Amino acid sequence: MPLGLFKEYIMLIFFILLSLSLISFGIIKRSEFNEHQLVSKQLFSPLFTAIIILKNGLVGLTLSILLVLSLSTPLRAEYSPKQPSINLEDVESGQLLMRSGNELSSAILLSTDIKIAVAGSASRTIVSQRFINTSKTWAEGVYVFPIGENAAVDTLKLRIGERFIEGIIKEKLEAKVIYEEAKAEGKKASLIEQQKPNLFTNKIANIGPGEVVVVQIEFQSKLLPKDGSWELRVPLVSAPRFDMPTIEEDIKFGNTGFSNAKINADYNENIDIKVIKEEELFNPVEISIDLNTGFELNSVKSAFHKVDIEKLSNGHHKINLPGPISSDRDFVLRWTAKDKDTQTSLFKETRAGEDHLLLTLNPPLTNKNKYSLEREIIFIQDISGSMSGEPIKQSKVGLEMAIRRLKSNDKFNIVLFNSHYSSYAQTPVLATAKEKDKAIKYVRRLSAEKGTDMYPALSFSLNNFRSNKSVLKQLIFLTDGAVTEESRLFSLINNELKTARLFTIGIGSAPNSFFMSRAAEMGRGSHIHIGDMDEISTRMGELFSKIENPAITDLELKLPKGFNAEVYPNPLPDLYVGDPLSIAIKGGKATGVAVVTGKIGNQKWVAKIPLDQGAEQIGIAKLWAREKISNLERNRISLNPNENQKAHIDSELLQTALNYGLVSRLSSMVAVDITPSRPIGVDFGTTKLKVAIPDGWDPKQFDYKYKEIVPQKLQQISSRNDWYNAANLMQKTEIQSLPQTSLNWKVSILFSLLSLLMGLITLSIWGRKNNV
Amino acid sequence: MYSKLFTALGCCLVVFGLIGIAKASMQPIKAIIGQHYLEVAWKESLKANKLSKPWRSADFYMIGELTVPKLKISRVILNSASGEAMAWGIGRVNNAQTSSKSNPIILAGHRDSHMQFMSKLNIGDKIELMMSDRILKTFIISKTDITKKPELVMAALNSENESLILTTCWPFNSQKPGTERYIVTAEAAF
Repeated sequence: MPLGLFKEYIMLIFFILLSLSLISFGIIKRSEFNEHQLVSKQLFSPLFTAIIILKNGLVGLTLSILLVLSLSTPLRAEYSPKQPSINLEDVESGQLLMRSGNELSSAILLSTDIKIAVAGSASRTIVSQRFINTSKTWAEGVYVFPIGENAAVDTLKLRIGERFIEGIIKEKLEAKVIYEEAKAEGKKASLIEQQKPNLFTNKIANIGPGEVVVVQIEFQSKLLPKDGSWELRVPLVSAPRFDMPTIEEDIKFGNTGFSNAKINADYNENIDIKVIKEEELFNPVEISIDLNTGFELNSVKSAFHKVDIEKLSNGHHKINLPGPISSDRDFVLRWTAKDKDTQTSLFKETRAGEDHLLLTLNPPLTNKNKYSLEREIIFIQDISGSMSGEPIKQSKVGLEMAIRRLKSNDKFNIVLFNSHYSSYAQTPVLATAKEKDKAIKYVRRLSAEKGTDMYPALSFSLNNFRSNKSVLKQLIFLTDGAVTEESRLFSLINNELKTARLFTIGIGSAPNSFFMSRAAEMGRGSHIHIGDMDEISTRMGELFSKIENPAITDLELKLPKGFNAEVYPNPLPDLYVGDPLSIAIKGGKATGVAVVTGKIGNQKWVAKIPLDQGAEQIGIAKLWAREKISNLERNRISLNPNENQKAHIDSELLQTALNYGLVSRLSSMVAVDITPSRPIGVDFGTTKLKVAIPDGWDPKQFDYKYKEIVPQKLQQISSRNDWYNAANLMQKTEIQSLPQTSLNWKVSILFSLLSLLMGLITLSIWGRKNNV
Repeated sequence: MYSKLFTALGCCLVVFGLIGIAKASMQPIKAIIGQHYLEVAWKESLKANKLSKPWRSADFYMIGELTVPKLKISRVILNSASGEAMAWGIGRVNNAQTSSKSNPIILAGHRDSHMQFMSKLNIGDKIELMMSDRILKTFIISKTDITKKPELVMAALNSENESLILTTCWPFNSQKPGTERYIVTAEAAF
């Protein structure tokens, strides 16, 4: 029994009866009145008429208002709209495509397994994926995978059918030649290339129909705490990138950065892959994490997924997912140290006779030194259509908060962009109380619509500062969009930023966090990523309060005499409260004491670091190399070097990548099997060799039984054509249209009732005159 | 002079209003009374063990019953999601022909009558379903979605388990017909 419905209905009927009785009562009373007061009728008639009209009108009006209220408010108020768990239309993920000849078809990704080992401030990730060729011919698979932007990819292991191959690092072109030759000869081969610093592709040649491929990729990344909390992020979503309208210099090269024709050609080829989205629902992911922090933990939490946490010892935990998850949103794990004052850390790895150090400076969590610095601040706010709903609502709250926090001697401006840009004021204005109120009203009116074009908005904002040097200049850039024309934006930032600091805020699962964090690094600011829509205004508030007072500025590192080392990043950025800085150092034998100097407000700050006390940790050397590569890439874009210098930077970059075995813009990882696997005119029959897994390979991932991992439906089919059809059929998505499911009977009743009331009023006026 | 005209106009408005109220009132009355009648008819058809119409002139059959234990709500399911059927009960969206085990059961109902309770459903809630095979199955709500278009994209391979999908118009308290749909997916529990 729908009780709520019943109640509402009874209420409506009640109101209808009430109004009818009142109105008829009004009419009867009036006629009685007329009969009894015949004498004064002439005199008072207009007055009485007016009174009666007024009365009936009032009754009608009151009833209508009551009705409207009863329709819109009761019973429903208890319902607060839920956030949909995920919108079906928005699902995106890494994709695998099979290519044979000109024919493209999608492949089924059978499983993804991610193992992460965290040790101190470094993490090693092993991603194992199994997929199956669902096309009817021999094909080449291309898998696009996104990973964290400071990750160093160094290992590739592959099993195709009954063969095992391991990748080695080569110069990009050389690797490509090796791969293409192997492919042409019908050998199994695989090639990992970096398309963008946070986007890699893995190509696998000569996969037989129905053959299973296991790919295992390993990479090293660096972890840094923020506000005393550590975050590990496993990107599972590859967003469709927003392509800018083409501009002159990009015509030839497509839209990716790093103006190298070959890479761009490759990239464009891969862009096509993104059109196919069908296998997004066939991508179950398993994640397990070995968290060995070395210090006692206060809490461990997964932001979006349910996890099982097993405590092995203080500071050592095992984290598992209860079951496979769909790759529709990033996996995020956060933990905090029990002792919040875990301040500075130093890790060391010796490789080829050289010491590699990773020094992490953790500023205090609270700023004890409150210096009121004068600021000029520009907010750049994305108001494109993708921001609509919770993101724009929350960023408005965040912006409002930021404006309220401004001091009266601060200057500010707000720049909005979607397909076009506009600004609150022509140039930054003083944040007087009146101006703040006006700006808040301006912010509250914002709504999100149309596309995204960042360049003009950023360009305008960068040239919008008016104050002299001593003033702290800050740009706050908030967007949820993915960017493709990174290099253009980078050179813009580098050329125009001058002494200003750039802070970037990425929202949702789509933003290009490589661009955002690199831009912030370049702009000597910081980057935050907000995955949970409910957290936007809170996290924005944290950022705003943090950047009011930089903790330590003008940082410099002085190494002991006799220790010549390469240090990255260079120059060192400012330190903010709760925002640590890691410095990667490589040199001969690390001994002596390094001195870090800086300024807290106008006071000098000095820290002494004994270099020989670093804790041994594997992976630090690779992190250093990755840091160096990032730095070189940054220089290549930002210093605007000539061709000679560019070549010099490139050769240094390649040398570093090859020495440390990392995939980079100039180096790829290639794996080739020695014996041909494609039967050329010869049927090998059914002789099967026993599969032996190479030493050191994880049997759990590489040793499988075909029958166990391939879905039944795919196994049962003998003919390749049927097989192909079945695979296609399985992937076919069905679209079911849904019927109209609203009666809207309340509105009908309301309108009918209004008509009734109007009719009765008309009758009561004109009917009376008739009687007279 | 004009009074006759206005009297006529007034009468017309009154008549229109009364008819309108009566017509619009029929919808919740149908929903409330119809559900009782269907309930009785469904029990009888279960006893008789045959697919039957609730009344002779009906152009739909009763094919099952849905119960939400948390809200103490039960609804008889009709085999059609046409406007006429959905005025009386909730309807199964017509995918019964292509139905296999992997196809979900999709049920639709009006947001302002039979499916009003959908606003109170949360992830993890239990839904019991008995179709004409007389086996009581329990489903647990696994997700809720809102789609912009009145379409549901289904992938065949996705659901190994049986699943149940309830759908109604979104937003709940709106009074305009729209294209948005609120979709609740529940997986079979064993």
